[in-house]
Amino acid sequence: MVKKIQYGMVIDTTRCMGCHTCVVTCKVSHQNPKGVYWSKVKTVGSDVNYKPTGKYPNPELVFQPLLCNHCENPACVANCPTGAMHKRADGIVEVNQEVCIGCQYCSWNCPYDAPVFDPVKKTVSKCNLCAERIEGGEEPYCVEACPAEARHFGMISDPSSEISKLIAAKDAKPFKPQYGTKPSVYYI
Amino acid sequence: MSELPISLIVFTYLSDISAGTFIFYLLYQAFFSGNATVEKIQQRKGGIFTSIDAKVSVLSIILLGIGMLASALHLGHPFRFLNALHNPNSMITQEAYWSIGFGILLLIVTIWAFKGKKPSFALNLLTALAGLGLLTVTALAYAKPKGIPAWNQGLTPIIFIISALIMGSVVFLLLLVLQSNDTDVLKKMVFIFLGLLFIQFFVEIAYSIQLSMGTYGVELPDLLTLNISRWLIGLLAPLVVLFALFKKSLKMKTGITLIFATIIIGEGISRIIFFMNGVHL
Repeated sequence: MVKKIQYGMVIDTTRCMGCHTCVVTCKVSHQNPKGVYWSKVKTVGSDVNYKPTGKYPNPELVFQPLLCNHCENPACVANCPTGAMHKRADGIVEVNQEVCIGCQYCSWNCPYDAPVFDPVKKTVSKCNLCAERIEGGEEPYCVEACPAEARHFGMISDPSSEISKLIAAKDAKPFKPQYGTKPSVYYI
Repeated sequence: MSELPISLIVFTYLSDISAGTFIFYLLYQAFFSGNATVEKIQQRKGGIFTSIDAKVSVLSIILLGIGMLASALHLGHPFRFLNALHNPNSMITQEAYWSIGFGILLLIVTIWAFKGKKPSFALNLLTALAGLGLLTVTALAYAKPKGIPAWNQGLTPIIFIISALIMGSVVFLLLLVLQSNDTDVLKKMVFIFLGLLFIQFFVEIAYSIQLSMGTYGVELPDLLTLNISRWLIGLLAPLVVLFALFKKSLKMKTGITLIFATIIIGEGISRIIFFMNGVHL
């Protein structure tokens, strides 16, 4: 029996300081056009960046970096009418922009709002975990660029990998698991 | 949803009217066309467009055609639309299959009617079933996505289907009242419309309750004015007109024309409200 391979990520929100370096490095490196962000950082509890929750003298400022969760059962893949959205053998979910018709049904189905419409290419685009870098033995741009070292990348399907040990040790949890897509991004 | 997807509103609105009208026409053919008045008028006036069959099929195919063109405008790459037939598990693919099937059957029915032949009941039944299929998969295409809580509700398919039937019923009633003065048949069909209107009332209330209970923290826009307009124009005004009709203070033709106008506008507002509520998680 062939073992399933799944790349994933752990994000330590206790280390994230909301600097948006991941957002910028992702956007610049992938040359995404205006308005297209594969990586985002949300200020928890607020629609305004850096607006804390809580009341003086106990304000709380927590950031949650967001990206495609490269789910084990991706709703975007299941509902894409064209087959453009697909899951690779290494578990990365990516979109074939030569086939995509730009209907955005994947976005409707994704609980994480990860696929975004590219107004230049007129198709959907999304985080591919920097597949081209992974193939060359490197880490995704957002992991490498994070100054707080809040992001950890690895093979979550391998129980002996560093990332799997980190998930177990820190009791990291996925975001919105209730949608049954089995996300591969975990949060501490 | 950041901006209103006009092309999708046009597609769902027109394709639903198209299918709803044909379903109501089938109902008429199955239960009421035994009454010869309409047939006699057709024979007396002569010509293809005096036949209710031709009117319904031509109107349905035009509405579906415009709707399908509008849906293509929603795509980033409209000329790649054939790619959308790839994944039968996707509701968009299902929508494409059923649209094409319904369109082809409508075309056959239209050609048949233009040849001056009485369409067979079996063919009309098949066409109406394809229309019902299209209504259902369109409704499910909106009900299934988990990313949009206001749409991902159990009542969404029922809202869509009842809305399509109610719009189809008023379009068909208008065509019928313009063609025939057979008040007996018209009254019976108006009663069916009244039944649908009552179902619509309860479904709208239930849907509002469902929305207020389960949108998972997503903040929906404030649509009070639109909601009031929808209720006044689309649900209460037709009831008032019906009451006037039963009291015989309005002529049948005037009453049905008013009901047609209120329902078509009211359901249009309802669609706009539905899409404005399409806020992503």
